[in-house]
Formats: sequence, C-alpha cells, structure tokens
Amino acid sequence: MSLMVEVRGLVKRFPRERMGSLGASWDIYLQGLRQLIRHREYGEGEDDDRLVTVLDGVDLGVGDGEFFGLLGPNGAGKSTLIKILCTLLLPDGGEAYLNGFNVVEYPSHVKASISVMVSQGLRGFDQTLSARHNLEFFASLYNMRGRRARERIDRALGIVDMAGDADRRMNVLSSGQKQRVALARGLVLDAPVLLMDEATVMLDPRAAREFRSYVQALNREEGKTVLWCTHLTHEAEELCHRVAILDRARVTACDTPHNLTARMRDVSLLEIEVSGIHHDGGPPPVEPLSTRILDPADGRTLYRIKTDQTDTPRRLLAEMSHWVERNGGDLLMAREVVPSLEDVFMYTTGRPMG
Amino acid sequence: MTPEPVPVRPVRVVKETPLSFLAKSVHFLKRYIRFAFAFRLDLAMTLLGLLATTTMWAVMAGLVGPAAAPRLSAHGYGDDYFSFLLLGLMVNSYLWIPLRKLYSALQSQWGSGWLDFMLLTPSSPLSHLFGPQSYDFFMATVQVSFQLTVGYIFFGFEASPTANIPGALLVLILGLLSMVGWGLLAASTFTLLNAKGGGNPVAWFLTTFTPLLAGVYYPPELLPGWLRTVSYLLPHTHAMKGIRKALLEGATIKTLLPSITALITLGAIIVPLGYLAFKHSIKKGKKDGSILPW
Repeated sequence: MSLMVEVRGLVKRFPRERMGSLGASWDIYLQGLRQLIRHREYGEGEDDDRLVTVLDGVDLGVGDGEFFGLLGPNGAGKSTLIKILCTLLLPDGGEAYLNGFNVVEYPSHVKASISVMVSQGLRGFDQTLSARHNLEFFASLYNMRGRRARERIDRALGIVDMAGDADRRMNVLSSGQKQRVALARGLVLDAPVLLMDEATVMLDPRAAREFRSYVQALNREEGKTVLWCTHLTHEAEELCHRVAILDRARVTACDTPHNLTARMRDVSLLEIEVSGIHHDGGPPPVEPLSTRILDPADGRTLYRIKTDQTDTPRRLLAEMSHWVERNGGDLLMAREVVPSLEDVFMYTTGRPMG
Repeated sequence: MTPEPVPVRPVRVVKETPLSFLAKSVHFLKRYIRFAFAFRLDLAMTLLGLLATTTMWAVMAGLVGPAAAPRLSAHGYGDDYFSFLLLGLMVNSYLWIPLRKLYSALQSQWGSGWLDFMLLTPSSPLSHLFGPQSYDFFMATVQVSFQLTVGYIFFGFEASPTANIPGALLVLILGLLSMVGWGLLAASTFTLLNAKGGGNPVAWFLTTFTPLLAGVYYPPELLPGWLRTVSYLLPHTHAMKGIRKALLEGATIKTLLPSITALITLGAIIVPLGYLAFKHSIKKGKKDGSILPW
C-alpha cells in the first residue's frame, strides 16, 4: 500500500516566549523588535533553552485509504503535526510528505491534496450568510466558479445531509449542522486526504456520533485517507484502522487498536470499586494503573490495577480487600477487564491521558 | 528543488493567475456587499455622516477660502479652497486603503480564524489581503461620488473645464501602487513586531505626519524648506499635487511628469521592500507559529 502521509524524524520547536495579541502599544512593538533580533537564529540550536520541543523525531506512515488515529493528551504535539502536514507551519527538522509531496517544497500540491478540519471548524464562516453562500466563497478561493462550483457544493452538501438547510443562515443552524457545513467546506475540494484535529470536541455526544459516521462513510465509500487526531480513546478504538500514540513530542506506540491492546495480553486488569476509605488510611497497597474518583461525597473510587503471573488477580484482590477493611471502607465491586487504548496509553507512557 | 514527484492520488493543482486573482476579488466584493446589505441602516448612516462632514468642510472653506485663493492660484491649484480641500481629502481616503486595510485584513482574518483557512487554499497570501480591498475601493468610490455630487450641487465644487481626468487617474493609480508598498510593510509588522492588537505602527506614523506634510489642507509649497523636502518622500504629496493640478488646472501629462516620476521612483523603492518584508513575515509566522491563532 502506498503511503499517503509519511513523516520521518520530524522536529518542531517553538520559542518559550510566544506572544499572542497583547493590544496596541509601542512598548509591545519594541518588545517584538527585540524578540525578532534575539530569535534571528531561532531553530538552529538544539540545546537552545529559549526553545521548547513540541515534536521530537516523529516517524509515521499512513497508507492510502487508511483511517489512521493520532491519540494523545492535550499538548502532546498532535495539532503541531497537523499544522506542519497542511503547510501552516514549517518544520525545524526531518521530513514530511503528503500524497507523495514534500510539505516544504510543494506546498501548493499538498494544499490540493488535503481537506482540514479543526475543533474550531466554525471559525471562518460568516454567520450572517447562508451555508451555500459561505461555500461559494470558499470554492472561489480554490478557483472554482460557475457550474463546476455549484455541482461540487451541491454534492458536498448532499454527502453531509445539509442540502435541505443550505440556504439558511449559519447563525440559525445547530452546532452539529454547522460542523457538517464545515465538513462540506472540506469536501468541496474533493481532496484525497482528510486531516481532522479534534473535530468532534465542540459537539454533543449525538452530533459527535453522527459526524463520526459521516467521516467513516467518506473513508469507506470514497476511499478518503483520514488522519484523525483525538484525545478520546473511544473515538480512536471505534474508528481507526491503526493508531499512533503521541506523548510528550514522541510516538510511543503505533499499531492496530487490537494489536496495541494485545500488547497487554500478559497483563490483565483488575477493576475495583470502593467507598468510605479513611483519609488517613494511606495509599492502596498496590500501585494502581489509574484512579478515578466517581463520587467525592462518599469517596466512591475506581481503581484499575495491573496484574500478571506474580501479582495474580486473586492475590491483589485479597490485598486490596484487607486494605479497604482496615480503613473502614466497603468493597463495592471487583472484576477482571479487557484493557482499553487508555490503559495502553498509561502502560506505555506511565501516566494517564488527561 | 527535486523533480516533481508522482502523487499517490492525482490532484489538480491550482495556480494563481491574474484572472483568478481578479475573480477572487469579485467574490470578496460580492461577499462584503451581501454582508453590507444585511445591515442596510449602517450604509444609510455612513452616507448621512458624509453629508455632515462635507457640509462642515464647505462652511470652513467659506471662512478661509477668500484669504487662501491667491496663494492657491499662485501654486497652480485653482482659486477655490473648497474644491482644493475636497479633492485632497478624497485622494487621501483612497491612498489610506492599502496602508490601513492590508494590515487590518490580516489582523481581522487572524482574529476571526479565517487566516488559517485562507492559508490552506491555493491562493497566495497576498490575494487574501488584496481581495477584501475590492470592497474598500468600491465603498470609497461610492463615498467619493456621493461627496462630489453633494459638493457640486450644494457647495459649488468645480473642476476645470479642461480637467485631465485620465491624467488624474494615472496619478491616483501610481499613488496607490506606492501605498501598496507601505501597506505591505504595515502588514509585515503583524508577525515581525507582534503588532497583533490592531495598532498598525506604520499607518500610525504615516497618518500622523501626512496631514502635516503632504498638503491635505494646504499646498505643501507653504511648508518651511526642510519640511518641504521631507514631504517629497511621501507618495501622498505627489499624488495630491498631481490630481489637483490635473482636475483644477487641467494640467497636461507633460506638466504632471514631475509627480508621475516621483511616484514611480518612490514605488520602485517601497514596493519591493514591502514585498520582501511581507514574505519574510509570513515565513517567520510559519516558523514560530505566530501567524496562527490555534
């Protein structure tokens, strides 16, 4: 299978002192000028402590027609990777290819190969204009005019089930409908690659589910390659043929969701729910893989504990039962569970997703 | 650059051409007109405001006009101060468009999240900035036509019977080209100086000193010697002088040559400088991420 997205040893660093919009002031312009002079050699020194590394030698390969997930917590470097792939940022090291084109050398070819959607996908739409007028404007930016543009827009609106609402103003559409118009904007171009960066974050669960099914259909029926960035493990598990786990600027694992969880085959998980533990009872006798407080009022807490041939489920359960009893709590539930991608993330990175 | 690779899937790469650039400007114009017609009362209020300011200039011109007339005609600007003033202010309003709006297009597109989508399209970053100007020029033309009509009907605005309209248009176009260079310099401060707060330091500089130096309210020839020398560095000075002479005195192209030459010279310096600064600012923005809001 040909690689639609290929990333080799990609490095990206940013200045620590990045400044946003700080208002209009000559002091700020002077500060900007000083920073411009100070950072003139920016990106050239690896050990430069004025820089923070956001991507550190990332390698990836996404096949043509593949639904590929990039899973990682906020700040892992997912959005930066997407921005480099879509030519909005220049890398500091390594190489990235999209549809066979180097993203630095052939930005126009790359732009013609991608549709990009971000969590703030609604930005860039004029709320006082209709969905169709907005899409007509975006089509014009791709030099599409006349009948060709109209056909593409009608087709894109049809794919996302928005044909009936296309002439309504954006500000009267629901969030889910707006996000579908944003998807249609990407489809007007009919590019072979969809880059999705946290595309469902702003949607309610139902709209998010619907949106995922539209993208899944585009992958399945039209053969679009999808790079789906998310911090939601259930999305990665549900949608992706393969998933790369990105954490602290590096890819720590990359495989099918099944194979990733199978890495924990010799590690079963014990899930224990307890309540009413005394605060002075100290930590559990075994270190849990994750701890989730379900109800702070009665101290109801869910522990996921890694077990293996030495620390068998039976032995760990006995230890935990004694600890709960000693601290005046109740053991509400205990069961063995199949590891999820979230467990894999914690297992490979040693820390929770959120 | 290595030979063009073979794509995994064929794609149609769109190249920017003058025709596509023009078509985009028309789409920007249509978009903003649709937007303006969604707020029709705003348009009506703008015209009402223009009526008020034109009336104010006419009253002021009536006050100082008789005293100013001999000095105006001595420098070849006709003898009607109201016509002199109205033309100066209108030329000024055209020339400000590239200076202010290239920066403000970048700033508003950055703030509203348009910019990243614009940069993802095959259009050049320049067309995203120049496109919205089509509406600004359209609106400036509507406003100037309205003011000239009001000035002509109610306050005695009068051009020379031998007014050289093509000559005035040529000078205006050359003035605008020079101002594009200043506008690109202004837009480049967005990432180069982190001027994201809407301040536009380059425009501040020029809008502060142009009324003093360029002769919006009085002929620049009245300035003291050294200030007059500085005023010749501004495109405004030559554009206003040329247009006034063409329309109020009917100056021929030959008479307008000094203004035309000065504007071409200034443009030849400032336009490449502005282009290079803007190109560098986009590269810096893509390198350190300062051009992106997300």
